[in-house]
Amino acid sequence: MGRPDRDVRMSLQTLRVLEAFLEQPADELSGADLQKRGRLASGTLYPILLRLESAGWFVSRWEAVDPSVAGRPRRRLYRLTPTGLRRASEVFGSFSRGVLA
Amino acid sequence: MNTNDGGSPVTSEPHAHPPGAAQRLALHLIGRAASHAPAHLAGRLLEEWFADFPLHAGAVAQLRFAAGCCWATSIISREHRLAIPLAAGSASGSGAVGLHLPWQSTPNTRRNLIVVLILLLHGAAIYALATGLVPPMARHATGGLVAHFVDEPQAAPVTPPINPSPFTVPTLNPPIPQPLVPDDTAATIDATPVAPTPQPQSGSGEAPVPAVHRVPGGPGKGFPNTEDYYPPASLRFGETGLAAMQVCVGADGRLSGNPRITESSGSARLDEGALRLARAGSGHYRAATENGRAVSSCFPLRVRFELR
Repeated sequence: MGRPDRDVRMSLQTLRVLEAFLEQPADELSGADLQKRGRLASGTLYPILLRLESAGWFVSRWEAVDPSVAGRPRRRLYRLTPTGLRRASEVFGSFSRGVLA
Repeated sequence: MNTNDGGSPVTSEPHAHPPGAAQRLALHLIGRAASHAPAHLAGRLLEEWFADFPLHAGAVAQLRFAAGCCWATSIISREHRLAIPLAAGSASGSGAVGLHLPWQSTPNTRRNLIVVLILLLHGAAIYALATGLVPPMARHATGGLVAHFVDEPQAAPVTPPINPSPFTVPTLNPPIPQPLVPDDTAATIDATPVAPTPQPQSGSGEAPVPAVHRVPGGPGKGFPNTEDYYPPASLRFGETGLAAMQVCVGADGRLSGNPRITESSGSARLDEGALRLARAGSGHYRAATENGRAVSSCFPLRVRFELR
């Protein structure tokens, strides 16, 4: 996709989001799922998702359902990119070494 | 309706059953929040938030979610204003966001504001401690203090010497006046001889001097509370000591001169506190008496500053 791989400022809330993804790196999660897993408020969560996506750590897509059939709007699903997986693993690895990168 | 970012028109309400007032308000807030987001994100956020909204059960949770969306919009909009736009098409299709966010190069104004506020609070706290704005708190924290006065020892009554050294009164021998008889005058002058001046008796018998009963002065009724003059800084630093002063008081109980330190407590602060106490007590001293009569006097005054 050509998205840049940039550093992201690590806050506790960002780490919670990444931690939720690292539990099952292949899973696609919606904002509501992440709110439950990371215990994050919506005002914090959605800006983080946009930042990580613009940094190339995440990709997102619309849920493949027809709203008229499902009776509800489509969900936006987020997934770690290989770059995001590598960088998130590096971040948590640095914590395990006792050094914050 | 908004079809930006590959989103389809939002045709479904989050709930099938009629929404309550809180839910209507929450949905209104979400719609309003999304409409204030950057244009290329408004449709995506609206649909995404409407999709995530039903997963929050209860009016409180839904209102919190809606309020969070409003907050998220403000953050996203601010970051978008700071961003350098990439290719316009990158925001569509796959859902990538066309934002270049200089995370670590742009100052975070909110964080800077918090840092400034913290610095200001520290400055205010340091100022309050340095200027002694919290003496009552410090006094309560130390659990009290004690100041002692040391009275001057009772002076022995003044008694006259029992055997004063004898002294002699010189005897005067006035000349006897002689009648003047001029040589060329025959008249006589009736001169009355001048009687001699009575002579004082010589010897050692003096009248006895009565004994003087002296009562020394000191702090009297209405003298200031010593605790009020414990220097606040000394309270905080736990300074204790004994300051001795020389105090001169008139018969009216007022200071007749500046009190002065004769023995330092070892702390300039405590010495100054003792002097301030001594000065504040002017008019409340008990004057020294001699045979019941108030007289001016100087006496030592010692103040012990002690923490309990």
